[in-house]
Amino acid sequence: MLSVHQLSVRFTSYETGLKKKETLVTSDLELAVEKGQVVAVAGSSGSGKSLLAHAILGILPGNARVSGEIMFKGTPVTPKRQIKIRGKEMALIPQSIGCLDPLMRIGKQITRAGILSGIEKNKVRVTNILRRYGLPDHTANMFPFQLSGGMARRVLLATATVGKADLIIADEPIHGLHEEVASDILSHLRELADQGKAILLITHDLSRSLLIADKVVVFYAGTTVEEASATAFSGEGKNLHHPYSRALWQALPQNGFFPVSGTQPVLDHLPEGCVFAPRCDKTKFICKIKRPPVMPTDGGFVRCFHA
Amino acid sequence: MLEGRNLSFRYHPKKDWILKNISLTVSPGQVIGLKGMSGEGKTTLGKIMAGYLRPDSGFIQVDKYPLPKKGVSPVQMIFQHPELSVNPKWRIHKILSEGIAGNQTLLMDEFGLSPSFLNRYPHELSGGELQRIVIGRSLGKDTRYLIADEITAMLDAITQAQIWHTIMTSIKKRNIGVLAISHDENLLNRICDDCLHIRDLNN
Repeated sequence: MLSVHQLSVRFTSYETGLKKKETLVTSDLELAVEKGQVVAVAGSSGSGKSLLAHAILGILPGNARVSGEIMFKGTPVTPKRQIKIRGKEMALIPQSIGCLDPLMRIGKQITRAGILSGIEKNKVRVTNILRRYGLPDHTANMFPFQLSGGMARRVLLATATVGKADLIIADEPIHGLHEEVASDILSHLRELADQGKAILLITHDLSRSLLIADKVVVFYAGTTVEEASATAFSGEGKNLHHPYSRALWQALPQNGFFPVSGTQPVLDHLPEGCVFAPRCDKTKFICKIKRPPVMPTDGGFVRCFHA
Repeated sequence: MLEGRNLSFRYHPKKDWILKNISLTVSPGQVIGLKGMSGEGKTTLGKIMAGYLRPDSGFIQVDKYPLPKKGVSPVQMIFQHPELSVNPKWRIHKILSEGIAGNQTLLMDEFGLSPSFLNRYPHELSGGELQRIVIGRSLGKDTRYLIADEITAMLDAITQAQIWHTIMTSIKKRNIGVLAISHDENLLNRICDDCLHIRDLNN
């Protein structure tokens, strides 16, 4: 359905005067989502997860420059095609509930999303979709400020799925929600995948994403360090190949709560070699001078010399 | 001992009680977890314990005395978003000097941060780094208790573990008591001596 190969995003900005500066914010992202799959993108904040979503949809700010390859349904995604297919064939569940129009009633917003996705106006079934996500019928007459956080998230889910999009990109859909609402939203996403859609689930909450994901792609400092099957995240993480993935798994409170010293490098000062080398306990000379290439593993791929 | 006795609170006389007749205590050096669903009043209770809100009935005592009306409070609260807890136009050393009178470099060492950060602005640090600065600021010499309200909810697991390990060492050293508010049961089970559910406290 969707594959991303060697995707890099650069931002140009001006320093003092007219001196131009280019910052590489993500480099060499690798990712693939198939029909019927939930692929989770996990990693710390600032690792480039949301940028990936925005690059796929073509909604990065004007000073961004994208290189690399994005394929959707077997054909390359160009800026022109992005305008044509976003909202129709691929849809975004945005991170912030501030993305709802504060002055428009919920029913109208869902109808509008339906029309923009190519459904005729009188064929958008607002009540059906509200009921599907467990929202009462009168939600259609409410304004966003009258909704609780969990309800607003479900409305965002409804606007993204009222059309016929085959790929749904969910950007932190469960952030800040308590257990019951979060697992409810996750099970809706799983259901959509089981109906044949492809789901890209972007989240920093690794343990919750594992409840529904088939594959997990781990991001660190703007790069994909590993793609692994969700089942590899079990026990002590011995089936994970990248030291960062293992560290992330073992840092969960239920798995040992082990910290790793140091912090994620800032994007303008990325290390020359492996991005995790400054914090890794397996670092050898080669890790410091050369970027590790992508190497296939049993469940996906890894970018590490020691895997 | 930080003690809240028979606390009741509502935001408006016509609205329902959010907290009704709640009592709880935190001893020095102890970590007490407070869990509950969103909207059940966890943060409200935290703000009352820290003196940001006045309860409609009941009282707060710190080591047998009421909270001071002015000056540095012995109960310090830390929030979820560190970038909202600092002045964005101040450099880190000025932010820290609000709570810390002595050697800031030593504190940076204790928290695993580079002393070069002292000259930076808040937006030049990551969320996890800035949260550690905010925690460091709250550990002044008069601080006896911390209220930690979802302080690692927006951070990745590794940074979360880093921050809690630092807090645990620092509070043991200073014999500070902590009320940790979170919806993450796994986290609370890991760090707390005792874990309370706000629903069980509410009468």
